[in-house]
Amino acid sequence: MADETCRAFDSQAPFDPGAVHRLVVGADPVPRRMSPAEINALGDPFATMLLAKGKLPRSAEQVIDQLKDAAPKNDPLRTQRSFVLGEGSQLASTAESEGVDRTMRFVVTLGAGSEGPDVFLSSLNPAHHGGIEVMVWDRENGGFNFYRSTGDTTMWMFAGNSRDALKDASRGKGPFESHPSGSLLMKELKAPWINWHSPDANIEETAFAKGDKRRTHPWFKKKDPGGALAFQLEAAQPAMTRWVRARFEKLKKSGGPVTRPKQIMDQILGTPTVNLTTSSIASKALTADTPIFLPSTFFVDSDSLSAPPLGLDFPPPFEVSGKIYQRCLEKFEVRMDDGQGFKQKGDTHFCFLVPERAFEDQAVLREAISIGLVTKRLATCLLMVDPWNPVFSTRRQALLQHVPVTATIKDGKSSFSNEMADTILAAADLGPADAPEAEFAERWSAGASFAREANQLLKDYYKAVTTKLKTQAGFEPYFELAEERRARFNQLPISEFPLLLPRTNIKAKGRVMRQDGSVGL
Amino acid sequence: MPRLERFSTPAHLKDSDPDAWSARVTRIFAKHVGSALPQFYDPTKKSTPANAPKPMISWGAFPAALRAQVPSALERWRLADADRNLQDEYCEWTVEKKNGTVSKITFTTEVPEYWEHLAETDPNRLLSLYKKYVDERVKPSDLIAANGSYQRDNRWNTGRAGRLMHLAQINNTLGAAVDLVARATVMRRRDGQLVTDRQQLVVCAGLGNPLRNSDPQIASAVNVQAGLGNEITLADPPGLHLGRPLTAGLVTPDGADAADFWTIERGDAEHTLRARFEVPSSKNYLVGDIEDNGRPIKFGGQIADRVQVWIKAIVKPGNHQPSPQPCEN
Repeated sequence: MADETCRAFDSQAPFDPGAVHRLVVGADPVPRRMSPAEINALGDPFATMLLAKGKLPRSAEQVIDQLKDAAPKNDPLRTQRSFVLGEGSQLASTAESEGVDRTMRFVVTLGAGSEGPDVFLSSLNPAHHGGIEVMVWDRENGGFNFYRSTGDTTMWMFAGNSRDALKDASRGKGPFESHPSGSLLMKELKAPWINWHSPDANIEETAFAKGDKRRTHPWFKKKDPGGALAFQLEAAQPAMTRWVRARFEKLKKSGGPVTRPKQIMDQILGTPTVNLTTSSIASKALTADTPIFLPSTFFVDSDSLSAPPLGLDFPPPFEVSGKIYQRCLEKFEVRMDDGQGFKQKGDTHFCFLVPERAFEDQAVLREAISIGLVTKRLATCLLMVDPWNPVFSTRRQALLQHVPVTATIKDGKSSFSNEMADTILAAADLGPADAPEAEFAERWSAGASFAREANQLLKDYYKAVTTKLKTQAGFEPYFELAEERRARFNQLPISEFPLLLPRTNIKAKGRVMRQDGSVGL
Repeated sequence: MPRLERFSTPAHLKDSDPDAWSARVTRIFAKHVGSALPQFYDPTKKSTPANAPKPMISWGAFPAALRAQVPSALERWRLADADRNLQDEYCEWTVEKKNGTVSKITFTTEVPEYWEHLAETDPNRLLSLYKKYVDERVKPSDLIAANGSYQRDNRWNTGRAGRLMHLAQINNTLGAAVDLVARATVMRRRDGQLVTDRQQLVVCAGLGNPLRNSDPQIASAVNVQAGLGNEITLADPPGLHLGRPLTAGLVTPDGADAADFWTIERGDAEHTLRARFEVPSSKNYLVGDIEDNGRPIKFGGQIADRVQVWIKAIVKPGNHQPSPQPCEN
C-alpha cells in the first residue's frame, strides 16, 4: 500500500524539478505534472508570482527571497518575520547534550494584516532543497494551498488546499495528517510556548552545533523578538480563524445545506488534534517551595466552556506544591530521552506538559454556533458530557453516532440541534443509566437553566480536585493521568520528535478522570 | 564609537536641561559600576565599538505572574486593570470608558525618574505635560510637595481609570532596570552547576520575580552574554519602550485594521514611551466594540496581552573570564 502519511512526499523520486507537480495524497496515486491552466487556477501568491511564471526556487531561503522580490513595493508580502523552535532547544549546552538532534527549525512568514500573513514556510534549514513546507492563502478560492518540495533538485508539489482536508479521499492523509482540518499547525499556542523562542524562553545560538551556519543566518540572528508570542497572536490564531471563517462563510451569508455535519461535530465532540500546554514553572527552577499552577485545561475544557459564546464560570487556580511534584518526578522516574543515548533526569523544560483541546476546534465550535447550526444549549450540554476529561473522551466521542446526516441553515437557524438532541434522548431512553446518552439527557433536562446547572456541577468538581491537589496521594493519580493523555497524544501524527514528551515508568491503563475528582479506569 | 558624550533624554525628547538628566542617569549607573560588577559599564565613561551588537530584549506587557496564577482570563484582566501595583512588567495602562464602553487605553513605559528630573529643572513643563496628557485640572501643588520634592504617587498618576502620566508601580523604575542588567552580568552556580535557567537565575541572584515576563527575560539575555566574556550596558537612550500591539485577529465592526488605532503620544516609532489604543472619532464605534476571539474588549488587559515592552542592550565584545558566584537565595 502506498505511503499516505506526510512522509509520502519524501518517497517520491524527483521526476522533473523543472515542472510543478500535484500530489494530493489519497486523491492522486502518484505525482503528476500540472498543466499551466491548473497552476493558473491556484490563487495564492506563491503560485501566481512564482510557479505560474516558471520561477521555481531551489531552497527555502530562495522561496522567501523570490516572493519578496516579486511583490510590489510596499506590498505586505514584503513584511518578513522569522521564528525558531526546536524540541531540544532548551537543553543546556553540555558534553552530554553535544550531538543531540534538537530538531531545530524555522518558520518564516510573509505578509501582515488583520487576518495574519499570507505565506508560511517551515524548514529545518534555509539552505535546504527538499522537505520545505509552504502554506499560502489562496486569495481567489479561499483556504490555504499546501506545497512541499522533495529531493536535492527541489521538485515542487502542490499537496492540496485546506478543503482537501475535509474530503473523503484525502482526509487525514499527506499534509492533512498533521493539519486534520486544513488549518495551520502550532501545537504550543499558549504561554510559555514550550519549544519556541519566546519572551518566556530564549533560544540561544548554542542550540545549534558549533560551525552550524544557521547560527549566523539572518533567520536566526534577526528572528522576531516577540517569538512565539508574536507568532501566536499575529500569525497562527488569525490563520486558523481565517480558514474557519472561509469554511463557513457561504453558510453564514446565505445559509443552505451543511456539507458533512459530522465533520463539524467531530471537532466539537472528538479530539482530532490537540494543543500542548504546560505550567509556567521551568523544571530547573522547581524547588520544594515553588507553587505550580497547573494548566486549567488539564481539568476542564475552560477554553471552550468559559469563553464566549458559552461563557460558563471560569475554574479556580489549580495549585500543587513543588514538594509534591518533585516526589512524583522521582517516583515515576521522569526523564528526557532522545532514544539515541541521551538521557536527562527530570521533566520537560516547563513542568507538566499536557494536551488540551485545539484552538482550531474551538474556532469551529464558535463558528458552528455563529452560523446557527449548533445552539449554545446543545453545545453546552454536549461538552458537559464527561467534562472531567476535556480531551480523548470516549463518552463524548460516542455521541457522534447521533449526528444527523444532513443539516440546513435558513435565516441563521437550523433544526439540527433539536434533531440531534432528540436522537440522543431517544437513545438514552433505551440505553443504560450510565451511558453518555443518559448523561446528556440529564444535562438537557435542565432546560433554560442549562448554564446554571453546568456551573454547579463544575463547581463541585473543582472543589473535589483542589482538595486532592493538596496531598501527595491526591496528586499522584493526576500525574499518572497526565502521562496517560500524553501517551494518547503520542499516537497522533503531530507527535513527531522524541524530545517532545518526557518519559516515565507509568504504564497506560486507560485512566480517566471522574466527576468526584478521582482517577479511575 | 567613542565614549557616549551624555545620556540622551528618553526617546530623545526635547528638554530644557538635558545635561541634568544625563547626570541623573550617570548617578543611577554609578551605583553599579566598579570592581564588583566588572562586566557592566557606563557608556559615558568607557568607549563602545561602533559595531557592538545591540540586542533587543522584549517581553509581554501583561503581568506574567497573574497570567500564570489566574486561569480566568476575565478575572486576570479585571485584576490587572483594577490595580496598577499589579502592572509590574515596566508597562502600565489605564482605561477610559464612554457610557460603560471602553473608549481609550493609554499605555506608558515612562520612568518616574524623568518626571522627578522635570520637577527639578522645568516645573512649568511638568505641569503643562500633566495638563495636556492627564487632566486640565492638575495644579502644581498636586505634583510638588511643600518641601519641593516631586510626588511620584500623586493622585493624577495613580488612578486606574482616566489617563496616567508615567510608571508608578514600585519596581517599574529606570533604577530597577539598570540594577537588573548590572547584577545579571554575574554568573551564578548552584550545587557546582552553572545556573542557566532564567527563573532559577532570578531566584538565585535575587533579581526580581521569577514568574514575571521582564525580570527573567532581561536577566537571561544579559547573563548569556556575560558568560561569553562580554561587557554589557544599556543602549542610549536608556529606558523601557513600547512595541506596537499585535493586533492581527482583532475583529472591528467595519473590517478596519485595528493596528491603525495605535497612536504614539510620546516618543516615536523607534522609541515609543506612551501610546493610546483608541478608535478614531471618524468611526462610529469604540474600542469596546472590537472583538478578540469572539470576546468584546472590556478591559485594558486584553490589549496589554498584545503589547510588547523592550529594552535594548549593548554587548561590548570582551574577554572576561567570569567566575561564577554562589546563589544568594
